[in-house]
Amino acid sequence: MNNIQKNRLKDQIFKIWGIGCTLFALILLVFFIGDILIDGIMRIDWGFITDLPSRKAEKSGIYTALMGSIWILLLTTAIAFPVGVAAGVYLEEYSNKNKLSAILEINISNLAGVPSIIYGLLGLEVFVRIMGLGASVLAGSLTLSLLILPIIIVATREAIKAVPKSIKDASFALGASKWQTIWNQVLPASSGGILTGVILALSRAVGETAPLIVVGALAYVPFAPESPMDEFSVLPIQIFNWISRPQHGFIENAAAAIIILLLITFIMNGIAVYFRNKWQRKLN
Amino acid sequence: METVIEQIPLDKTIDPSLKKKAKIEVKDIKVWYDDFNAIKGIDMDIKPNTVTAFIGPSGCGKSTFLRLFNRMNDYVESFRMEGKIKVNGNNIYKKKVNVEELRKEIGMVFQKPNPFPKSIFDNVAYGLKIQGITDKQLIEERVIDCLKQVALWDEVKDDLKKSAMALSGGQQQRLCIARTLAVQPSIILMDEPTSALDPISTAKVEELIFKLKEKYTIIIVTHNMQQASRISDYTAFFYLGELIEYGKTKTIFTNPEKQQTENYITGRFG
Repeated sequence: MNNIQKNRLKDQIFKIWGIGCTLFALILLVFFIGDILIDGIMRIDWGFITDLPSRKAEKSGIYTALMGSIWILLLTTAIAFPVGVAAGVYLEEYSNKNKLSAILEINISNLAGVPSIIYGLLGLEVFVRIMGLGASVLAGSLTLSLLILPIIIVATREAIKAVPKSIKDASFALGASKWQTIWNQVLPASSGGILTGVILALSRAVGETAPLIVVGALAYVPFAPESPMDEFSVLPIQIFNWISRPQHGFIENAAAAIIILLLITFIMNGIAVYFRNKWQRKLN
Repeated sequence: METVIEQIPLDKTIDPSLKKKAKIEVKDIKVWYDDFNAIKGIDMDIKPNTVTAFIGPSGCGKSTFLRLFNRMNDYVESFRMEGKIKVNGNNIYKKKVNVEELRKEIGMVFQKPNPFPKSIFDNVAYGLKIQGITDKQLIEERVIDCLKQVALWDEVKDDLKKSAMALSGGQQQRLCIARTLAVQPSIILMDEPTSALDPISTAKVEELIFKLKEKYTIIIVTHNMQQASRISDYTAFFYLGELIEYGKTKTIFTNPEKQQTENYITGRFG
């Protein structure tokens, strides 16, 4: 076997190995989704979505948890989006490149890797106790905002970095101020990337359980929240609660709730992909 | 806030030829990037309504020098300079000078066409919108007028809403010139404006520059000797951060004083 043949063989081996790895991940996912679908799909009807929780599995619905998740999602967006984007713009466009900004940069990346339960403890101390917000939707949203801020900041910076310098130069050369350039050129040109990052971060927030349990979200809430100060539950906590029940009916409920949660995440990721493609087309 | 050149109100009846003519005086300019001395003391006067070409090998400082006139080097962190640049007698590096106002007076066209990823109309209107002008009729008239000035109007009049990114390179560059004209500068800086264009587009832009001279003072950096000799009235030859020779284009190209200039022009180095 000569060198060329050897290299071809290596090429083939790596290709097969790669296909195997990809399939392994995909098969696991398909198996998991299939299992969930078999367990839960028959359980999903309009009643399941609009019913309040109950002691009886067949009467139980996800209404309060779903509403809790939607409240958390909206409030977290309202808090994390402006703060994260503003911080990203500041770091990328305004801050001087010195030691301090280098330290800031490293720590923001580090923050993205902090386990979510730590954020829960921070939220419990700062928002629930010191600020006296209690186990409310607002306290939960603030905690999740902290959790996803690093992701949004990093995504914003990357999106802004991808805006060609020539566009900024052109804007400055026409007499635009820094803010006018950022608002009229940089942000529109990077909006797709920023939105993608924000949506992916939010879809992570929707699935978070640990920090919300620490903050004090309840497994059983009789009513859907009506204001940011109300108590709440969210879908992952509801699922967690149902799975730990012995009756088979609740397992079915949990599977059905997982399908709904997956659906929400998939839709959000789909929107993110759509924005990313649209954005790439625009810049090229 | 001090404006460098007397601002004429943005009135739609304005005739750009009435604008005050812009005379530039450069006094002992030195520029450093960190420790690197990019420009080593240049004096130069530029007459109003002329085309001045800056020529010289890559890295000679001509682009750095050009960017001093609209203070685009201000954003380079390691940038440091000494000396004065006066436009109609006012030093543009005085602390009181408002850089945004200065750039409305001194426009710039870049090497690579760099339209905004917006519509053709919005590209030209941008300079007016950031000045807070909301009069739709005025904006529209100005956009049409500028597109006509750069001879792009006939090509794009039916799809002003189309993205500027869809235009050809040559059209994009003319659009960038139209965008610069829309804010009614008195000086236009051009940094190798045709180096990314095909010969036909280059000819169109050159023709345009020749025409624009009537109303504007133009400074153009170019690597193309024929271009410099075709379109400029004055030529400045830079080498290693110094101004080697500066004079009428005809003289520079037919009878240069310095051997270095002759060597460069005839292609013996550079």
